[in-house]
Amino acid sequence: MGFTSDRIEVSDALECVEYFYRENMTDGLPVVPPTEQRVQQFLEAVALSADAKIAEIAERASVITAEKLAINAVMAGCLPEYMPVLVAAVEALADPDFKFNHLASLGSPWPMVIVSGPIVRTLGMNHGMYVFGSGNRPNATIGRALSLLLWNCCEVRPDAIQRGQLGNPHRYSLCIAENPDTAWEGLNEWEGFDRTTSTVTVASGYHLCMTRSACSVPRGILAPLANAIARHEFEPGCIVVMIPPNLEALLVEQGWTKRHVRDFIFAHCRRSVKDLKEDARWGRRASRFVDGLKDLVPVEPGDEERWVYLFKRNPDLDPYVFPEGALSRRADIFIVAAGGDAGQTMGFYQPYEQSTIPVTKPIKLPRHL
Amino acid sequence: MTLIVLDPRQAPNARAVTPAKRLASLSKKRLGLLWNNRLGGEELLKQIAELLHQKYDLAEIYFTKKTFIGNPAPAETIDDLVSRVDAVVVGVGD
Repeated sequence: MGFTSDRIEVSDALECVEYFYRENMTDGLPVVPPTEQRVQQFLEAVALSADAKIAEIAERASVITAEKLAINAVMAGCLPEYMPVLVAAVEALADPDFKFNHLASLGSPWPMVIVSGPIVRTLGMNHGMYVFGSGNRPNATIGRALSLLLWNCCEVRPDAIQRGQLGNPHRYSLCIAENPDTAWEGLNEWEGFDRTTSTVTVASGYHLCMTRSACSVPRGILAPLANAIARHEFEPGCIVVMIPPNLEALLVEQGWTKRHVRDFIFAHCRRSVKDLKEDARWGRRASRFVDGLKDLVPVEPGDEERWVYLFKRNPDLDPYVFPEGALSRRADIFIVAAGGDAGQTMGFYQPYEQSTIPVTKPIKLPRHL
Repeated sequence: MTLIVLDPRQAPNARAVTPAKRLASLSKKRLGLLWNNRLGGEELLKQIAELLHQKYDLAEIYFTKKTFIGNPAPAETIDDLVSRVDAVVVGVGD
C-alpha cells in the first residue's frame, strides 16, 4: 500500500494499546490500532495517496502527509468520512497566520476547531445541547485526531515544546459544529465563503467561558456577554462567541444580525483606568511601562471616568494597557450559532490573542462524496 | 496471530543552519541587545550587558526590541542590528 511509516508487530489490539502507551505515542487515552487496512480506508475517503503532502508546518520543520494524518485519525477513533474535515483543519493549523509556535506558550493555549456548513449535517456533528461536551463521535474524534497528530508529528507534547504552566483540559479534544440551519449568516459566510461551502476554522484560546442573560431584548441579552469578555484577559484579538438558538431567535426577531451583535460587543467592551489599575493591568504588559513600578499604580481622581476600550483605539491610554503587537492584528468577533435550545447561557472562547489569529479553510470533498 | 500497525510518529526534518562567524573577542566590539518585549526581560538584558561591558570593555551597547515575543523580529530590525553592531544577545524567556 506504499506506506513509509515503520510497521509495528503486536500480538493483538490490547497489546497495541499498551505498546503505544510505552512509546509515548498517545495522549493518555487508549487508541484504536492503526492497521494498514484501516489507514488505507481513510486515504481512499479523500482519494489521496499515502505520500500526499497535506501541509508543511514550517515552524516545526514538519511536512504532514496524508499517511500520518490518517494513522492518527484512526487512532483517535475517527471514521473515514471525517478525513476531509481533518485535511482542511491541518491546512488551517499550518497557515502562517496561525503562528504555530504559540502552542509552546506558558499560557497553555489550544486551538478550537469549528465546523460550519452542510457537512455538519452530513457527518451528524453536534451543534446543540452539550455542544462542548462528550458523546458525539465526530466532534470528539476530529478534535482528538488533531491532538494526536500534533503530539506525534509536531512535538506538541509536555515532554517536548508544550511548556504550558498549567496545561489545558481542551488539549485532549476541542471541536464543535455550527447549526447549519441558523437564520444568521454562518461562520463559513462570515469568513468569505458561500453557505453551501463547508469550512473549518481553528481559533486558539485558553478556555471556554460562560455567561448568562436574564433579559429578552438585544442590549439586555448581550450586556452580560460584553461585560464578561471585558473582565477577562482584556487584549484585542479575535473572540469566538457561541450564541444558542433560543437567544439567536430572540435577537433575529428584533432585527439583530451577527454584525449587530459584533458591533454591540465592539462598542461595549471597556474598563476604566481605575479598574485596570486596581487589577494590576496598568503599565505592566504594555508598550509603555510605568517607571519604577513595583506595586499597584495609585488611582487618581477621574480615573473612574477614563475608559479603555477593547476594540476602539485610544492612543493616549492604549499604550499603558496593550502590548504594541496586540494593536496591529485582526480584532473581530466570530459568532457561532451553537448550543442547546433552552436556557440563557452564552459562551466565549477566551482567545490566545497574543500572536495567532483564527484561520478558516474550505473543506474539499472528493467527487464521490 | 499478530497485528501489524503503523507508527504514527514523524521526526522533524533536519535542517542545516550556518551560524554567523564567531568573534575572536568582544573587546571594543559593539554589542546589540534584542529584547523580546516580555516583562522583566529588558532589565535582565541590561544587567547582562553591564557584566559583559565590565569584562570585555565593549565599544558600544545598542538596545532594541521586538514588538512581541510571539513573532520573529522583522527584517528591518535584523538589518538595523546588522548595520550597527558586531554581536547580539537575544533569547526567549519569561
